[in-house]
Amino acid sequence: MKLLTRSTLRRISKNRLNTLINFIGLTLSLITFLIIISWIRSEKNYDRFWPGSEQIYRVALNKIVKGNEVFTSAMNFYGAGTVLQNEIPGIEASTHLSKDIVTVYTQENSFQNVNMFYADSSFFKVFPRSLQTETPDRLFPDVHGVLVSRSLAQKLFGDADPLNRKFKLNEGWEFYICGVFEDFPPNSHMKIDLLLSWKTLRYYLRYFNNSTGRLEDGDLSAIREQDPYSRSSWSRNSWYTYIKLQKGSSPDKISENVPAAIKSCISHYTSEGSTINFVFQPITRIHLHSDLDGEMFLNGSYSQVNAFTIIGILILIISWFNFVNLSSSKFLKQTVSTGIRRAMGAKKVHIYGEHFSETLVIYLAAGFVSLLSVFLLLHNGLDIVGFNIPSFRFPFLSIVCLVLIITGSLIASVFPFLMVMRANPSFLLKDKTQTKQGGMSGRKAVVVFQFGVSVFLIIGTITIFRQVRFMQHQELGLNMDQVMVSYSPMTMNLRTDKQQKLQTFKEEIARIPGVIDFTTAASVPGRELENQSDNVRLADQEKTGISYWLANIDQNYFEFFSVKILAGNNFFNDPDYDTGDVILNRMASQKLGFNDPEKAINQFVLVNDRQYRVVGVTEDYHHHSLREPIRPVVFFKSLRWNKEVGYYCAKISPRNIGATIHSVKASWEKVYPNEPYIFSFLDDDFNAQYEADIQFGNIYMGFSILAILIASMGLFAMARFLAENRTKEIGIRKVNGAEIPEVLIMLNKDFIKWVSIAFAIAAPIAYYAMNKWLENFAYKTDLSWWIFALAGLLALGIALLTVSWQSWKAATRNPVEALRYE
Amino acid sequence: MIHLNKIDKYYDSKFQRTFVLKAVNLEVKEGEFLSIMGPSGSGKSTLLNIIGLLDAPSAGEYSLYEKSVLDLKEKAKVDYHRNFMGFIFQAYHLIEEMTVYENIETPLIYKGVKSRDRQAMVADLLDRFNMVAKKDLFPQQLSGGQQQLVGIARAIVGKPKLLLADEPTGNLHSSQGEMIMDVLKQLNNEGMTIIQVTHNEKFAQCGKRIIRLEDGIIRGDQVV
Repeated sequence: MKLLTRSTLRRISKNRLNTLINFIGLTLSLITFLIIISWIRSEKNYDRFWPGSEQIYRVALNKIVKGNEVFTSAMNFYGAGTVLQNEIPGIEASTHLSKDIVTVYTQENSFQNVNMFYADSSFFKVFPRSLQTETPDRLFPDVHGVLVSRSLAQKLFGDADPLNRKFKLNEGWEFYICGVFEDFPPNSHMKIDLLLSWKTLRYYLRYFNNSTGRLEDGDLSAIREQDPYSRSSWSRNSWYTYIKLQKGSSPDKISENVPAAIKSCISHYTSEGSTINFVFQPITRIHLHSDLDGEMFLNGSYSQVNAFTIIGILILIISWFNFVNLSSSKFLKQTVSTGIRRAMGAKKVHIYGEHFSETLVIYLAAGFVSLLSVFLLLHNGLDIVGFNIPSFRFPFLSIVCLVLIITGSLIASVFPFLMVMRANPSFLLKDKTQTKQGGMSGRKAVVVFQFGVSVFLIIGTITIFRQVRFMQHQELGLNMDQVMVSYSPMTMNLRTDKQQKLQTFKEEIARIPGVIDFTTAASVPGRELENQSDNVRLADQEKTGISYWLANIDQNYFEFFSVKILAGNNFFNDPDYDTGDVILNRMASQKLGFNDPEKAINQFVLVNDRQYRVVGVTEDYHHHSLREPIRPVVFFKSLRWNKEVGYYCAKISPRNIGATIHSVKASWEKVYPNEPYIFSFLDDDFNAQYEADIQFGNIYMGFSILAILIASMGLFAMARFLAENRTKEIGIRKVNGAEIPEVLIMLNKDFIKWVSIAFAIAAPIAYYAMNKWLENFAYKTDLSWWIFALAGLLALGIALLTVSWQSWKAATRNPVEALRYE
Repeated sequence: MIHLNKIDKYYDSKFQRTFVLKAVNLEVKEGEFLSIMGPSGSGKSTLLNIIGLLDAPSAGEYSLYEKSVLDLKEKAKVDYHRNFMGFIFQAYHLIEEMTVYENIETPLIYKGVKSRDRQAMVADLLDRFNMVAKKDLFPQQLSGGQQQLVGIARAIVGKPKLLLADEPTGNLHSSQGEMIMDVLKQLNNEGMTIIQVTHNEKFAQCGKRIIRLEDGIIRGDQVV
């Protein structure tokens, strides 16, 4: 052992450049890998912290009409959970949640867009949180008490004890805090800050006087429990429904019993030819595997996890290959000393021990440094260009790192060892040239692999950024420049003076010189259109199973966004709302059978069995990101917004923006004193939809650069070794009249060949992979040939740049010196 | 001690077989000091490598103490290297990243000698070759003669019966060469069997017996 360590360290310090290249490459790749694996671990651990998380399922809803899937929604019917639990044995508990969008405020503070849900006390049976409450046996002791998260309580009341404190919500409903629950860990697909009982909502809707802003003394007994079997409990799917199975029962077994259990409840769907299915999603898989309509929040992406896993492994392999490659060169140079050792009676295990210990020392150093770096980086959680890595498990990472170190150094030392051992010891002593060429084919393969990966990553990077650019610059069919957008004031939700205040606000901001136009809508481009219907048809048609979006907009919406009207007219500019008029987009008119938009004008359509007259047809425009195809839309002139909350949009002139914003804000505060004015620019919002893609692209590019860097370092060392090895040959050639360019060509020729082979292998794989990735987008760029050409040239350029320095050095050397050298 | 019978060593290329050694018969007794002479390419080093079990003959028999040592297992070969023979090379072949002391010590470590004993044995040799002051230097810091002395010390530290020297003076000035030859003679006088390959007629005469190789064939065998 003594023998190993001392000379090992000396040998390592002797080959300083090689050691450095190995060390840096390894450390970079280990850091990358450890960070990726931390991120993946945290992504995969979503919702595993719940007790019995394996038994918890979300029940999603799938509706099919005539073989067409109308939707698969994350939200189910009100009655779904309770009916399942009542009718099917094996379900331990069930609960459901319905999301709302609210503003909460006290005298001092005001917060918009709080994560608020309606629930009942069954919630904590499925999702237990530790709870601070004075009434542990009744979570909601009355209809005025609400539960808040610790962090919301802190935001509202600071460090003071929040229990029994009061705050107001939206149009002035006043609640007191009857319990505080611990915050949900960040690695849950749910984020909940405020829980109201469903009964509370119904009570307040009934007894809150919106003209006085006061709650009237109402009879609580008039608010009956909603019957989960009733028709109204099975008409709107707005409830996230969760069930917890008993130990030993399986979702398959439950599934089998579902049709019988809900048969009577869904008769009104089956009778008209629709099929209703329940889909059981394990809660631990929601974050990465679920992308349904109406997800609670934006989920993660399993394909992204996969992509980064592969990239992490590739980078690791690249650096391992570097190591093998470099140690092979080095050990081949050491053939003589290996030969001597063998002549002195060293066993194979001794010689392997030396190779291994040398490798292990470098690996250990790299492992230590990377673990330390990762620890420092992730210590407080890391946010790499938006990729959040919250949980950091040091023991876990240490074990991963140790495993990588040991397997890595075993692999890195065994190949060169085998190469050296293959040779006869007397060769080692005498004939150097024979062994030095040994293992070349393996090392060619390494270069080909590394540059293949580089080419693949370059193609990927270009494609991702091209797609993002494409999406950002694509003509959307509407103009949303200089549009300030905010939620409609939630403090006005059900108040009787809502419209009047809106009118006041309109007049107020019309007086501001910088404001060009103003409109309201249930949804704006870039936001979810929440209402859809599969029951849109002409009077003489049957249901088709095609799903139409329904959009409530103000009269000037199309003008405001410069959406072209193809046929007919806009809505009448009069004070009447919810008239019998609708406007279709081109897609909708086509789906209804009017290939010529003009033909649709003045036709009558049935929407959810109510009759409307088509007054106009607009050009299609992209309401959502280019990931999604344009869908048929039916527009209504209406101020009825989803959950009572819509959007206020003000188009402002580009001059003097600061002053204009200030004035708009002032007007808002004058008209809506209890609500903060939180606005953003619509085009920013719309482009924010591509943020995840941009982040993906950035990280992907970072990894690509890293991979190429590590590969280049390996190539550099290899070029150095080869040039050194051929010093004599170069000398002889020069003595015989070869000129520098010829020598350069001779030395670089091989590398060009290898990179070309790498390109030939990587390009089709990249083509396939990027095509697959582009399938995520409804509107996409093409994979033009130049991307591949560029990637190939880049890889070649990098390779040539890397090797040419060494080649140049070798080629310009005085041949006499070179020949004496041997 | 050494018995070579009809040893051939050849390489096959596409059209012909090139012989390096052809039907070499050689008998070496214990205590001999044998010099192998011959022009470049006559197969001297190959013969030495075969004797040293670093290379295998293509045909023929080779026995040490009446025991055939062809087709030995790796382990048995290692045993011979550890306990029976030592090597000296023209280019010294010291391990560059080890000090003088460590170079001499290495074979003992391979052999599994205990640390205390190793110290004593290495110290003895350093003393004998007057190199105590140089024990912490690295090979590059020594003159050629001194390096070769270290090479000899390393070869004999394990107390081998047979010392194989491949042109031990080839890289040395004549005065240094003489010094090395004196050491070898002395070792021989103490009873060590030595086989050396040399180009130098004068140094060949230091031994007790000279064989002359030409194109892989023994052309002469004379006692000095």
